[in-house]
Amino acid sequence: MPLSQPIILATLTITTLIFLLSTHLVLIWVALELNTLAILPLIAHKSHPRAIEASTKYFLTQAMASALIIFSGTLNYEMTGSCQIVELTNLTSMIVLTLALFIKVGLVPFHFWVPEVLQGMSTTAAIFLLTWQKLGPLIMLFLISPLINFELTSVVATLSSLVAGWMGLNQTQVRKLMALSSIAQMAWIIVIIKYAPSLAILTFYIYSTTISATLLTLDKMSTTSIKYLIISFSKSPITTTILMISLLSLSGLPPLAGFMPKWLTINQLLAEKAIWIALLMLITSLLSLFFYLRLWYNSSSTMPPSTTNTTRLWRKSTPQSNFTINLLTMATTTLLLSTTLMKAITKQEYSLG
Amino acid sequence: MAVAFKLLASARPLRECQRHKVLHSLLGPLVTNHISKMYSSYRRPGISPDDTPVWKKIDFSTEKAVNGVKKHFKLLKSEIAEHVTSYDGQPLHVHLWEETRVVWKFHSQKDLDKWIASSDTEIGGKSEAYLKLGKNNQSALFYGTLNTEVPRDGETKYSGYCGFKAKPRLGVFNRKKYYDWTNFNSLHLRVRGDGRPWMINIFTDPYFSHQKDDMYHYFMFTRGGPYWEEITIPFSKFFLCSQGRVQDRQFPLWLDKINTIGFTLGDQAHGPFQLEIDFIGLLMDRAHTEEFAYEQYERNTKF
Repeated sequence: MPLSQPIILATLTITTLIFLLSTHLVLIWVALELNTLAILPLIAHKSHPRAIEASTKYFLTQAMASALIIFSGTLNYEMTGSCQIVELTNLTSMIVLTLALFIKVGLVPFHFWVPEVLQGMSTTAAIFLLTWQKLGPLIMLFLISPLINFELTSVVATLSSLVAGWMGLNQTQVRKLMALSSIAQMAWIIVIIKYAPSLAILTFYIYSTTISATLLTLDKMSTTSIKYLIISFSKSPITTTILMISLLSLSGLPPLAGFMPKWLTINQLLAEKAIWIALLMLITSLLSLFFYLRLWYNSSSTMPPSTTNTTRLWRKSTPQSNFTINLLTMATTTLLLSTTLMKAITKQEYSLG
Repeated sequence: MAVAFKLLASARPLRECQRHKVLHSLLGPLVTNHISKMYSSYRRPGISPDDTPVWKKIDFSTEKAVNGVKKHFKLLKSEIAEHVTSYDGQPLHVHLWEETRVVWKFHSQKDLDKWIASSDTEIGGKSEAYLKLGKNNQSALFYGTLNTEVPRDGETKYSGYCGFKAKPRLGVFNRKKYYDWTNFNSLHLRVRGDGRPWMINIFTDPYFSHQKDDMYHYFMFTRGGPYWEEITIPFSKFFLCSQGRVQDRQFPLWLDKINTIGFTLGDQAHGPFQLEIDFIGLLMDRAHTEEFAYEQYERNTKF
């Protein structure tokens, strides 16, 4: 159907605007449902049985989370008479809503659907799932951030970072690795959302930019497994270099942009006296760093004894220049100076204070 | 192949009461021994339904429970260590760089116990099929007699098949474990057949029950004679079937979640058969560049 793509994109845009503009729980819930329904054809685009399976799993998980959201709204309305998300004062409603949003985003212990769904879909659709689809739940979390329970978010964030890193240790499928990486990155957003919601939004922006660059590059190289990354440098050195920069930025290594949100988050956690949480987040992020470095090592750092003649890349030409990927990757590197600037600003604030 | 699951009978009072038939279908699992039909159940015509309650079929043995707990926790410990140090039982660099792999070999009874043989006796047919170790415990021998006589039960129309398949791998606490064959593009077997055409079935175990009958098949034509032959079948050749029917819309076989592989003989030739297998392995054939053998034409075109 020729009009399906504009309709889907228009629906996604309109529902995202509704998230940004409204605070009424029912309206937000309607937008969430429409958002979920609109993305399903994108997930099942190829009609492969695994893609249909992925879209079914995604729909069931999101529908269950949406049911919990409307349940929490109904409960809050019954207890307090308010339907505004910012007035969610009933404790049970708050906890149910928080857990429902964690299901939507894919945090531990509701993370099992993320790698399975991502494995069944194309890389281009995966970009939508890992960035755009997280806007709605994160906006809701941003709105309820003053009322959110820090103990709950810190436990979930720490577990997410740990479990995502642990699961990625012996994973060779690249899409599953990106799914687990997304879970780990979401943990950093969730852990700080109560005390610094704007920092959580900044983390999300940098995460979206970097993961889009990574997934677009992987899509360009048509790689689904680490094995095909091994020979990518000889086939397309520039694209592989771009991938390397994106991966290192995702892992949070300075001086790339991905380091900034992690550093600021740790700063904020220490300022809030959550030293143990900060320490646990740092230690568990080492597991994620391991598989990012493994991807980097296999793609850019070594030339293993594999031939360059592969079935995957034999017929697809890999253009060496791509405007979108280059733009996104530049966004991960042009913030090189930002870390120095932030440090200078912070020092200045301390000296003035 | 006939499905082995049987439907347990409902409690007698509810079954006889017409008014409760609707209620029973909704509340079956709660009020009776009725197990919902997750998979299609087949009961041979003429055989009475099994009225035995579910709880009577379970072996409540303390010793079995304790041994089971010990075994699974030991497996859990080794699985955790394996998760960190290796991938699918071998170091990651070996997994990434390997171009060939032997998945199944038949050197002992333990290897043979990973396979299960079956035939049309499940539906009342008269074929016989046996699986045993070959000479000097170096191969597996699947032999028997194919009988195309249709069972006289008034329902069955076709008969005459034999097959054997690998049992699904189970991890700790009997979780399903899948094979990851993404590094390879061909199935490589060393067999000694009898000239009959066999069908290789690969099952990828879909998550939802509406796809439970989906399976990928391809043919294996054997030569008769005393000499071994090495057969290489690219995975791009496998076609999708559901309940044995070839699907109009074809999709390539995804190799990241393979559950089992099986071999079936159903060539409608009445008589003895024999297939000897030395090993079943995987191969990365660099010369094979085909991604999928079956072209898909656009249906419902604009004009």
